[in-house]
Amino acid sequence: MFHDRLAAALERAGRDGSAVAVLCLDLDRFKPVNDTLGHPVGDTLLRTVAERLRSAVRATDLVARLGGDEFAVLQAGHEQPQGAQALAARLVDLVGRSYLIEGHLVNVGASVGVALAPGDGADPDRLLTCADLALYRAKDEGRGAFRLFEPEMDARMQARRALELDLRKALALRELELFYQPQLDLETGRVCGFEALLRWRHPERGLVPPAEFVPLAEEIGLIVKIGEWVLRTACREVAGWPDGIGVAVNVSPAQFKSPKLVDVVRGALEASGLPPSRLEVEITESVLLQDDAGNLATLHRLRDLGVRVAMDDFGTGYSSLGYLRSFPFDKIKIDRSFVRDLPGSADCLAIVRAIAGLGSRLDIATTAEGVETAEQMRRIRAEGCDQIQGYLVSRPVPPAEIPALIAETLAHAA
Amino acid sequence: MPGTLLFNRGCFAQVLEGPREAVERTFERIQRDPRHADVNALEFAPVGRRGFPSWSMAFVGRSAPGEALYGGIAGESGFDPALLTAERLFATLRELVLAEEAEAAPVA
Repeated sequence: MFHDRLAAALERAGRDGSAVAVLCLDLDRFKPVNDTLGHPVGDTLLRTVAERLRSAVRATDLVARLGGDEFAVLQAGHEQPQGAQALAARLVDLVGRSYLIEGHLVNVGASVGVALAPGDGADPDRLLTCADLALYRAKDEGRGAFRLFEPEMDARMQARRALELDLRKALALRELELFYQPQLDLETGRVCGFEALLRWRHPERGLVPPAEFVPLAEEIGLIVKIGEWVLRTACREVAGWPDGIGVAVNVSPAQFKSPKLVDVVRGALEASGLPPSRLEVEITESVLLQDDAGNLATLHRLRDLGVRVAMDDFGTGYSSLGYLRSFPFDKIKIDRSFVRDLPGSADCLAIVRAIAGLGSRLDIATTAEGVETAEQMRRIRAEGCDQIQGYLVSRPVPPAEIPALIAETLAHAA
Repeated sequence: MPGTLLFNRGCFAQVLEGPREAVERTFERIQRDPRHADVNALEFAPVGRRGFPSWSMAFVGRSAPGEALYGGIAGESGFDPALLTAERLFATLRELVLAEEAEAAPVA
């Protein structure tokens, strides 16, 4: 219906040389409304949004719901892009105003993407795609705003899609690898364990940095399968290393959503024969932030297996001390951002001192990340941290280099 | 629908009272009016009985009691509605309306 009307409008515009605008609008924070107030309220909200949209356009413009919480507006016979810009700004404001619905005060926002014909394309599908890409960018940049389509958005999206296709094949093609970065026990001076770090070696792209593909893997849900592979591989590889050497594996919030996590960990331990005490899962506080009794129960079940649990990146997020009380963590990892400015920054030193003190009182080990100089190590040791990790000890290395690295640090310590 | 309006320097406050559907309809009409901007709903809740028996309106800044009461609100919040509690606003508006109605009433 919208598609047909759009096609007809484009044909007319093509004949008389006028412009047509397509606006795609998507509600921000609609899902929480649906989840907390129920679908009937959500449905009434969507109807009210549609009415607000209709109240803001001319009689000759068309408003349609594309599905879910996405709407489209067809604007013809206006001076462009001024007409679409004015309308988009008005829609963002109008839809973002509070609603009173079935006894509830409801607040949502709106993001809008705009595509113009003939400039951005001349057929309905192309225009809707362009408007969607612009919408995607508006949402990406913080929502509650509108964006006009630009060709560069298309290029960026194509690159992302290509990366996604490659990433989906990476597991099957065995392009993923684990590197290991040692953690040094400051008391004994020996390597006591390693953090497993994911690497993707693509035949043409080369070594793709995790920052480039892990967020994408999380977004498309692939992180759960990749996470399974990481757990199995880390356990298998580390099982062959000397007793007492442990491995820390990052587990993402998405993996916690999967009900299989505990089974996956148990399976990885059993298949490899690695004693559970040598496996440590590192979580960020977002795992505890996202809810819920469920994630906390999962942590306890992991602990019941005999696995250790570490809080990663401590100090960067909310760093609620409540999290430290909600679960008996084995380890706190002090974020590298506090270590980077040592010894120069008195603030960072104070933070490191506070976290180390907190750890020792709560009987939780502390590991400082990103330690690069001997002076940083000296300060961190003086503040009472238990372990360090960083380039000072070693950069992350492939598993083949591990035996030599362990032997070398043993010789060092001796 | 009974209600009341407080006006000063381009800022309005209004209490909408009535059956829930009627309040929701009126609020929605206000929201769709392009002349309005930054409409904040401070509170939306059922009440036992009406605080404003008839449609009434108060223009603050004209009557002496209004000055006094508005002065109180302004002193506390600078008339930033976000800093006003719904309860305080409701009480102030009600006092204003009652005061104006008493003033307008014919002397017996």
